[in-house]
Parts: sequence; structure tokens; C-alpha cells
Amino acid sequence: MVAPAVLVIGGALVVPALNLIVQSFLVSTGYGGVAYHFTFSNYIDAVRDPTYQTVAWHSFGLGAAAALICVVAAYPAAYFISFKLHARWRNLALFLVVISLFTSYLVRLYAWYTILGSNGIVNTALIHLGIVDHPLLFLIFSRWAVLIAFVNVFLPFSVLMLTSAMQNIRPELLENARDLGAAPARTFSRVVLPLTMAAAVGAFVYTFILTSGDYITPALLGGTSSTSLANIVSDEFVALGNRPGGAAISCVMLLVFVIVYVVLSRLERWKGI
Amino acid sequence: MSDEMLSPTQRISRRELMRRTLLGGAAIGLSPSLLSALEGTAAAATSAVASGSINFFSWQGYDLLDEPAMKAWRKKNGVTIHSTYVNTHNDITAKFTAGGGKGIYNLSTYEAGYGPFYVGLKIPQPLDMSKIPNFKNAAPLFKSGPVAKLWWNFAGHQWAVPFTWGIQGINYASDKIKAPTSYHDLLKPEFKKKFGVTDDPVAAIVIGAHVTGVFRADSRYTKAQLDKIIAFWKTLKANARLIVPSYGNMADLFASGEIVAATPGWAAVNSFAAAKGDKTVKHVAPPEGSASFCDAFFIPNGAKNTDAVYAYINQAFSLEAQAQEAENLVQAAVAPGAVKLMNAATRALYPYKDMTTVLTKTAPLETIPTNVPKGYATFDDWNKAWEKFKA
Repeated sequence: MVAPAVLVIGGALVVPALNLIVQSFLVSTGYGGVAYHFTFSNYIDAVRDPTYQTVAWHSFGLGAAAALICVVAAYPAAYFISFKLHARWRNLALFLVVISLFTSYLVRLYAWYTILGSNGIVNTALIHLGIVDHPLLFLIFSRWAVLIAFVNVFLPFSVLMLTSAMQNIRPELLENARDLGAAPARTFSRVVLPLTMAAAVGAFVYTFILTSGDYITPALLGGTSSTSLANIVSDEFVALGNRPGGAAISCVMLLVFVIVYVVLSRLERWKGI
Repeated sequence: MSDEMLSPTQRISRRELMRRTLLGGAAIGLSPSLLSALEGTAAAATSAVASGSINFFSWQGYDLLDEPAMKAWRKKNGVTIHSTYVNTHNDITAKFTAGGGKGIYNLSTYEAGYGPFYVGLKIPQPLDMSKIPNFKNAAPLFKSGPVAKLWWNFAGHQWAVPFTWGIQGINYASDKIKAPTSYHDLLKPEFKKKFGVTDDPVAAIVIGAHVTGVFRADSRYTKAQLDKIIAFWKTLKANARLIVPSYGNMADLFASGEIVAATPGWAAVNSFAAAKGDKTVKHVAPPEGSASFCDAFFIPNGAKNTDAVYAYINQAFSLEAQAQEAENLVQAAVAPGAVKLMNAATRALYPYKDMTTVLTKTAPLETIPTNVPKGYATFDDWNKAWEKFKA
């Protein structure tokens, strides 16, 4: 019964991952060529290269910021949908959250040109209102623009995950907390937060992984800081034909993601403030 | 030498040619291998020699789908093109080395400077020039002599046949600024945060070599010279608005008014921008020098149905097809005889009368370093330096 699932997961996930790990310990012999000699040098280069360090710092930093903002911003929305909205409107609210995902990722990125661009909605409004004399150029083609785009894309996922978790909280628990004199903030921190911590960690890790490894958003919106770790990996494989080098950087990224998940999963046992 | 490019004609504006677009050019078209498996005798061949499928892997537009002379030929001979487009030239390298392209694709292209590199990687097969008689229409520069022997005809074989070329300088919004007369113009305060630097390391390094006075046609620069070239681009980057990810995206940026200039540039961006409603984008090659490129058809090793491919390539060198390619691609033809068949606007785009001078002296064909002696920067060094520049 499980054989088909094992085959799919094994073939689509495990085998490619193992291939990547094996490649990371090989020696590159020129474009596309490898020698089957074991070496740690690819990992040493990946960790010690100043360019990779700079890019990694920016990529993981942006990813963490986007993930944190998504989770923090998702909580009020998820709480409202789960506990304040009548059941009749809940599905509509979830649909409105999800509807943005129906549009192509690339189209949504380009849409930010019309919102944050020099002639976009924000700058046009600011100039018309007399708040600024000329367009604010930092709104787009900057790390701010990348962060805004990341939050825009991944916030719906965080809302969905937290809403799903909150809907498993029995309303009686919240009533009991209020009956015992807990203020709304305390109810949230001692009841809702611990019971949704697993979903929050999941949302954070999901957003962190996808944003840290994103290729397109930094390229289109990042301005003169448009390189991400994904671009570096791509260059290693495609431009340089250095599969072991690209594989090593990928494995280091994977290790960082695993460490982040392991550390944050300890929060699932947190009992609240 | 200043090389002003006119705006493209209305006829060009109705087609979308997105060279090097990030995603727009990715994987358009059907899988050639799947189609080959499904294809039985569907293609009615009117010629016993040239018929069947051509599986093309290269830049969108280079499959010559829109040229009437090529369309008519395909219909007459029962040839079907299945195209997969690339985002960067490196995609071609990757596909035919580790990417499983050999045996699947039977037609591709390489930019002149990649010739020896690709031959070293055993990507192209030697061509049987008796099957491409129309190549005689190409200018002597492309057929024989020192330039041809560097990139297409060496080690005793003809590896590829050049069919189109162009010049890379600066694109600019002619309604907002005057034509830049130097790359250093972009460092002036009035250009601060108003222009883009294109993510094209080969063109950038070649242009940078011209600007810093170290240019060599064989692209052999010491590491100190490469550092000097990158330092020039860093000063540009400090004044720039962004690094432009692709030439297609460059057109979007001009059309939306985000930039007034970009370099390295490409004349075809004039056409892309016009298609998006901005007919004011022009291209100029500053006097310091520019990068010029020349793309050539090659047949990959392991290619099938090469008779159809040879016949297709041969048709692409007919004068009629060359004139139509120049109009559609907004690039220059290699056949001087095709110039009289072009409309006035297309004819004026490139210096056909001075073609040899331009491609050998003013803007020699860009190339990548191969087999460099110790102490000189390798292509890996170029890519690493560019990664560091962008970081």
C-alpha cells in the first residue's frame, strides 16, 4: 500500500538530495566535470568566501525578517477569522486571503512596479498631496521592496496555517480564561499562543526557507543588491559548471534551515508568557 | 565612432522578442523529446532530404519562426520547429554538457567568443559546408580570415556558421536625455539613481576593458586588469539605480520610466520598449568602444535528422531570409547582398558599409577567455568577479 508513496518520495526527494550531498564532496575538474575524490574543500570555500558570506547574510537576514513579519502580521488576521467572524463569513474571508495566490508569482512581482515605482501609486499620491517634491526612489529596487514583496506573497500562507491551528482551539478555553479574570492579552499569551506555537513555527520556517532561497524577487526588485544565495548556486551550476561547489552551498543552506527548524521547534513546548 | 540607432518600425512592434528575459523566455514550446516520441508520420515531407522535426535550443527569435521566407520554406518542406528558449548563454553550455541536451536538440547557436570553449567541451559537431551553399552570401569577414579562424573555422573544421551580429553600448530614453557620449557620462550627478547596469558579465567586462584602456581581442587580462575593469563597474554601480536582470526587463524599466539609460545595452531593446508603448528608446555606441556579438548556428554532437537542420540553416542564409532576420531580430545581417532587400529603417540600423572596420577595430567581437596562460584571468575568474560585483 505504501510502496507507491515510498517510490514517489524516494525518487522525487530522497535520491536527488542524496545525489546533491554526494556531489558536494567531489572535486570539480572543469566545466561540468567531476573527479570522484573525497574533499571538504567545497564546504570550506562555501563558508569562507567573503562574497558568499555577504550574500548569505543578506539572504538569511531578509528571509528571517520576512518570516517574522508574516507570522506576527498573520496572528491578528487569523484570530479575527477564527474567533470574531461569524462562521457564515469565515470561508469568504479565507477565500479573500487565498485569492491573491491565484495570480502568477511573477505578475505579482511586476505589480509592485505600479505601486512602488517612480510613477507608481504611492509616489504619485505623495507628490499630489505635497508630502514630497520628487519620487521616493528607495521604495523600489531596494531590500525594502524585496521585503515588502516577500511579505505580500507569503503572508497568506501564514494566515492559513495559523487559522487552521486556531480553529482547533475550543472556544470554551478562551471563555474559561476570561471567566478567571484574564485580560485579552493574557488570554492570547497563555492560551492561544502556546496552542498555536507549532503552526507559528511551521509558518516561520516555511516562509524563511522559501524567501532565503528565492531567486526572482531579489533580481527584479533588489536594485543594486540583487544577488541572493539562489543566484550564487545557479551561477555555480550553470555559469561555472561547478556542480560540487554549487552542491556544497546548497547543502550549507539546507543545514541552516534544519538548524533553524530544530531550534524553533523547541518553542512548541513553550507554555506562554 | 558614434552609432545612432533609429527607432524600430511599426512592423517590428507586433512581435514580442524577449531575449534573455528571466522567466518570459523560459521553457516556451513543447518538449522536443515528448513530441519526437509522439510524432509518427504526421509531417508530410515534400522533400526526401529536408523534412521532419528540428528541435531548437537557444534564444527566442533565433529559430526564425516569424520570417516569411523561413515560414514558406518550412511549409514547403514539411519541417516543424520545436523550440526551447534560454535565459542566458550559460543555459546553452549547461544544457549540452550536464543538462541532457545531446541527442535531443539538433540546432542551437553560440556567440562567437564561445566557439573554442564549446569545441573544448565537445558540444558542436564539425559542419559539412557542402550542405550550406548559401553561406557564400556571407561577407568574407565571416567566412575566412583571422576573425573566422578564431571563432568558427579552426582546428581543421567549420564548427558553426555566423548568421547575425549586433553592437552593445548604451540604451537611453531619447525624450529625457541626449545620447551619452561616454560611459563616464553615467557617473555625472544628473544620472544618479537613474540608470541600470545590465547583468551581462561578458559584455560588461569587454566594455570595461575598452573604457579602462586594456582591451584585447583575445580577452586575456591579468587579474590586476580584471580588478581595474570591475572597479570601473563598481563606480557605475554606486551611481546606478539597479542591476538589470535581463534585456527584456530593461525594456519594462524604460517603458515604466524607472530608468533613462542602461549599459551594457542592445539595439533590440529599442524594439522591445516600442512594443510596450515607449518608442523613444535608442541605442548608442560611445567612442571609447563597445562590445559586439555575433551568433552562429551550430549542430550539437549526437543530433538527429541533420539533413533537415542543414537545409534550414542553408535557407537562413538566403538573401531574402537574411533581410527579414535583420528586421525581425533588430540585428545586423551577415550577407551584404541582403541590405538592398531591407527597408530603409532596417538598413539604417547598422553600419553595413563599415562592417569589417567595426567588427575588427572599433567594436571587435566580444569573447571569453579560453586556454589562458598562467597569471591571466580565466572565465571562472570573470564570473567570480562579477558575482562579487553584484553582491
